[in-house]
Amino acid sequence: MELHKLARLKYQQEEAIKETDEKIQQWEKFRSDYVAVRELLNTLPDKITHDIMVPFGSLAFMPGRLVHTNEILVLLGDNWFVERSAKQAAEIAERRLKETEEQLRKLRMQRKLIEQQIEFTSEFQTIAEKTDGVMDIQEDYDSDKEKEWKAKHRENVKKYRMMSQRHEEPQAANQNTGVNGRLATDAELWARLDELERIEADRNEMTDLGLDEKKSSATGENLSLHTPQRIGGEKRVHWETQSPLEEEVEKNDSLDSDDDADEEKDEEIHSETSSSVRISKTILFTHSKVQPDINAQPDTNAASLQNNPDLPQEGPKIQTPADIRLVTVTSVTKSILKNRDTKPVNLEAAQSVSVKNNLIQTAAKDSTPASSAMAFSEKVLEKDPAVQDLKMDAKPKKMSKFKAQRQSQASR
Amino acid sequence: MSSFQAMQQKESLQKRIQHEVEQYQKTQKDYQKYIGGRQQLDAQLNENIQVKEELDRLEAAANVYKMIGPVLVKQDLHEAKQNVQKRIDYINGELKRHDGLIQNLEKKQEEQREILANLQKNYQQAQQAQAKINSR
Repeated sequence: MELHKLARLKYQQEEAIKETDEKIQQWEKFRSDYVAVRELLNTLPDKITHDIMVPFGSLAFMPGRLVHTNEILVLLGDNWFVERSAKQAAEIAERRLKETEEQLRKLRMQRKLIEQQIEFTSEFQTIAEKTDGVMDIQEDYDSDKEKEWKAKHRENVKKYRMMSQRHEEPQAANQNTGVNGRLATDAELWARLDELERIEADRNEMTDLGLDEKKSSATGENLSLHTPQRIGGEKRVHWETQSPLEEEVEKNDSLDSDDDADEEKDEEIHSETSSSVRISKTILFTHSKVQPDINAQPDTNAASLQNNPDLPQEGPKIQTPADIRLVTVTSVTKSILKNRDTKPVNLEAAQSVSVKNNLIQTAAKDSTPASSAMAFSEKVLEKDPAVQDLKMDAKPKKMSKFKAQRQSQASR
Repeated sequence: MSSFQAMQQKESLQKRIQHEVEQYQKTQKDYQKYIGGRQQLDAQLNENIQVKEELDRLEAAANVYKMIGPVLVKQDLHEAKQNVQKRIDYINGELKRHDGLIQNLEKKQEEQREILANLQKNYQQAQQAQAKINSR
């Protein structure tokens, strides 16, 4: 946009507006004239004669009389006159007034359009002068150069991929020495993290429980960071302290920037912190023993009878999916069907069980203040639903009769 | 080419250019004239159309006058209507004629502009040639 051309355009547009304004003025005058004539024509036939001051010449008036007040010669245009009465002349004037108003409306619209055009040119001017704070970023496009660049880009991408593939194979050799100046993929790093986790888990388990552990042998394909590993009936979730996590986050960021030096450093830091992870706190869960429900269906499965009172054992007992439930679920849920079997209720046994559970609970409470060094008390106390029901029976007043019915059925 | 010949060439070119410029200006004047005439005809046409409309509204007994010079002459309504209609037709014809002429003049102007451009180029070349000769 050349500035001087824009300036000229603006000048022309302003001239156009001036012209339109002049025309509007002219037509406004016509309009007012027609309005006056119409008014006059309405009042003229009120009297037979009017006393007026007649102008003759441009400087003198003479008193005179206006007669034939209803006979008016109207100029139609092109030197044609017609004799009309005052009323008819008023109608003609009315029509002409409407036409002038129509003309005025058109002129005003024209003026508006020109104004809009002026606005646009002003905008262009500000853009050309760069005074409105908007920068036009332009890049030259050369189709040949773009093709060259594309070819080079493809080659670079291929090289990168090949290098990353080669890099995955000797991953095992590079465990604690860090990557030597080559780009590592995300998959390799996740694999490395999983391995370190497992090593740490191994060490912790050896010291705490002395159990053998089944390890999953997945290596390069494992992409998830925190895999909650199910070992027998125990759920184990690992937390590491804040600092190693941050290192991992940093590492991921640095990958995006493709900076070899950064990566090397981060790998080393990670290996250091993985050794120090041993000192970090971990939260382990174990589940308390739960007495079996008295109303449970008689289990014919020998495995379940064996397993229920003791801590559930892992692995070899599980042959089918159903076995998992038998092994892991320690409290047997109540059947929704009406219990037709009448079993001898051993109330004494139930009461002793409740007492035992209470004792366990109080014992746990006593021990909690002492274990401030640990992050958690390590024992999850399972609530025995049977105990709850028996307690409720002691207060029959607050219970609805349906519930009472159910209770009585349950206790049968 | 000798310097004298170059001078002669230049002079002849100059004369030709003068001649062509005059012609171009004449064409332009005609063009403007016809444009003005057309505008006027357009206004007259509108006026006469309005008169016709008003005459159509009139009842048969109304008096119509025509102003010829300082005299108002009474006219018959039918006659007046016919006259006005004839005038409208005449104006339309004139308008078409003007339009045709204006188009012709526009074309002529374009051609003359091109000729002038060529001549100017030649003249400049001649000047450069002369400058070369003089500098030798």
